[in-house]
Amino acid sequence: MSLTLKRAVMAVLGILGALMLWPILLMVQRAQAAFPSYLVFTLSQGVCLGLVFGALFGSFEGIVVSSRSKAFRGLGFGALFGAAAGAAGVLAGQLFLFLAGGALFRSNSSRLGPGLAAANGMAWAIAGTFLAMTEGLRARSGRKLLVGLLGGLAGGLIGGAILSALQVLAPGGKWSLLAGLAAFGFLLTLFYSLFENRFQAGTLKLLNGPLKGKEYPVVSRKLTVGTDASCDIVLAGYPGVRPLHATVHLEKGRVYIRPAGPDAGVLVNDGPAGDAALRPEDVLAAGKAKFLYGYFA
Amino acid sequence: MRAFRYGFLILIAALAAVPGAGQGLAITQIDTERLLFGQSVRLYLSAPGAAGTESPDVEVWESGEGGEWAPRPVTAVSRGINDAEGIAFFFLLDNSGSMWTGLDGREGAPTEDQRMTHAKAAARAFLAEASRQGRGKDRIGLGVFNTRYWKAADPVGDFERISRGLDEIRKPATEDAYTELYLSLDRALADFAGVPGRRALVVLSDGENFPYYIRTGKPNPETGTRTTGPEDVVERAAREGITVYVVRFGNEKDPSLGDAAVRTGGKVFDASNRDELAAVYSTIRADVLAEIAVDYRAGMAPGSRRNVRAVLRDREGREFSSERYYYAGTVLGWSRDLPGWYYLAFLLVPALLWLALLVFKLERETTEAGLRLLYGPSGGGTRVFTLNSPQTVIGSSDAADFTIGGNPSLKERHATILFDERQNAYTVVGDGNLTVNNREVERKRLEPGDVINMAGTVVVFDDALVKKTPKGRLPQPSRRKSQ
Repeated sequence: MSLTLKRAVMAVLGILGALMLWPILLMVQRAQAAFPSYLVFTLSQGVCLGLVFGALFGSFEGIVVSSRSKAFRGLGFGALFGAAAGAAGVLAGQLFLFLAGGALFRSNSSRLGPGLAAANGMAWAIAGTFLAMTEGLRARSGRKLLVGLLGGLAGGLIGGAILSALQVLAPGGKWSLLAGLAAFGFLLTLFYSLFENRFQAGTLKLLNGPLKGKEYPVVSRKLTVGTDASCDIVLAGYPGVRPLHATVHLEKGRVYIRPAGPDAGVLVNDGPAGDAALRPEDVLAAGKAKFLYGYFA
Repeated sequence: MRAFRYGFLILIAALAAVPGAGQGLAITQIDTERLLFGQSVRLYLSAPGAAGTESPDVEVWESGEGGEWAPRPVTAVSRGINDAEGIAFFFLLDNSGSMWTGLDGREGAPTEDQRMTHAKAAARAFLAEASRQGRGKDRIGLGVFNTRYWKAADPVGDFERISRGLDEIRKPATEDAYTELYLSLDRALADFAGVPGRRALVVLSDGENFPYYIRTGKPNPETGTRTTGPEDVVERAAREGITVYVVRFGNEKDPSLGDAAVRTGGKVFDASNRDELAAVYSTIRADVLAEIAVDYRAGMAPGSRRNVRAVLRDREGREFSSERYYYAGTVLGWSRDLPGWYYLAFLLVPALLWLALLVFKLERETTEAGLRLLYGPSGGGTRVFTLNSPQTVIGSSDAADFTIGGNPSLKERHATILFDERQNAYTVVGDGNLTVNNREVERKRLEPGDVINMAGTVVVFDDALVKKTPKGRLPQPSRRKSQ
């Protein structure tokens, strides 16, 4: 799958998340007065937000590589991590909003002025950052954490600004919440993939077989390759590939491929995979699967 | 002896407080620091009505945006808060022409009889008192006004600076000698608003509001044609949580200033010399120190503006109340929308779309052999050429089977792909500047995914990974061209 298509799928997931989240949030918000405290109210909304977005984002890899088991597992993981991240993120955002909002409210004559909108946008950025960093936590990858941090911050900030701008224009309006959520989901995913691209150390592009055209950016320190569904690059349907066939390593900005066992066939440019780092345009083979390594626009 | 004299004067000053000033209650500040984690809000109440009451009877009510008032449980009522945390004072001193006349308003009075001399002396006495009793926690700021407004110092703990600021006050020129009272008060409130903690602004004036622009028709050198009145000042003070205390010095009194002070939770005093002034200042400080802090459990009404009302009953059963609001907005907003059936659609449709994304494969497996242009000098592309004849010529010539333009290094017939029907295998043949998988070759049997580089033009050979049956039929000769 080309990078563009991948981004499109990611953006679609962001918007789907917004659509699903909207009625859930509206129902929770309608019941605000029934909640015992802001803490419980905020955590509930954060869990909803994280659950939906986390589940959808978690299923992204699975959808991209057309692996249903991966998608469902990602869905579960994402929901779990997302719920925790959403709760923490929205709580942090709310804390910020109460502090900033309280101060602005005091010294700002227009109570829905731009300052408050900015504070709200910031709160969303905090929530978005927590959400976007779950993938990094799950993969235990520093680079992915950084991608999440920057992507979440940028997407959350702009998405949150749009959301609060819409709420300033139509306060308490449910449609502005919907439009804002959609912008938030879309921008969060957009910036995440932009930063993922920025921080990648090259991409492995599959050249043949059922998953031809898929691109796997090298972002985390280690990627596993094999037929097993738990691998990062799942090569189901490729003859000659073992459940765990090879690992791709990222060390100091250089990328290496190493066979997972002595008799796992891994070739670089039709020769055995040596100790040398990969260079752009190298052709890798794992069993019958062939990859092209490089930077693709 | 001195202490006795001050005590006596405080009594006098308290009595001199204008009737009606004992409004009884004002919420001077709302602290929402513990709202999120403790669901608790603290109100600071200036409650002269509850003076002397050990545990005042306070009720707290809340309402959301346009909602009804509901009582909230009060969890604690405490005194001595401001003593522990210190007070920020801001002195706003009138420096109009009349401040340089004698106490009786006579022009040409000797310096020691002038109002300004008395005002400065009383202010210095207060500085001394605050440094004695404030245990270094009080902060004092100073502003001076006439036609112009000058902030001599932000509230600081270093009272020497304030003392120097007092020294710098000089008699104004005639043009500058107007009493721009409300505009200056407004500007002082704005300057004071950013200071944390309990804030009390003390304005001393010996006359009525006498605005430069209105009186002369010429724009004020600092504020132009802007005007303001007691209403705006009260509103700003209430919003910022600043209590305004007014000291009227001399015989001329502004008609609205005292009322404005009371409405901010403050008081109004009259004084006619330095001792009375000093006593008034002591009273103000004692007043602020006597404030009550009320903790209560906040409600959950939706909306970003939460109105809060405190009601206090004194021993005689008189009731005082005061209202303010605080910020209670939530990150994800709020809604009063009744759930509709379309909610279900919003949940189901995206879920189905997600399933569709999962089921629908975004790519197709190769079933027939072909070449795909990966990239070349003319840039990338998605051109695909199906291999279906025993011999396929690739080159820049129009006569080639697979014509690729835009690369001057590409020969007219650069490489040929041969199909061996018996072995069901493809072989690439070329005579120079040809690599497969980055290795120079003249002839190589191709496998799916092989990358063929012809002088910088790169194509990928692809075929089904698992061949079901050898092709029984003869490939149909056909020519396809692409530029």
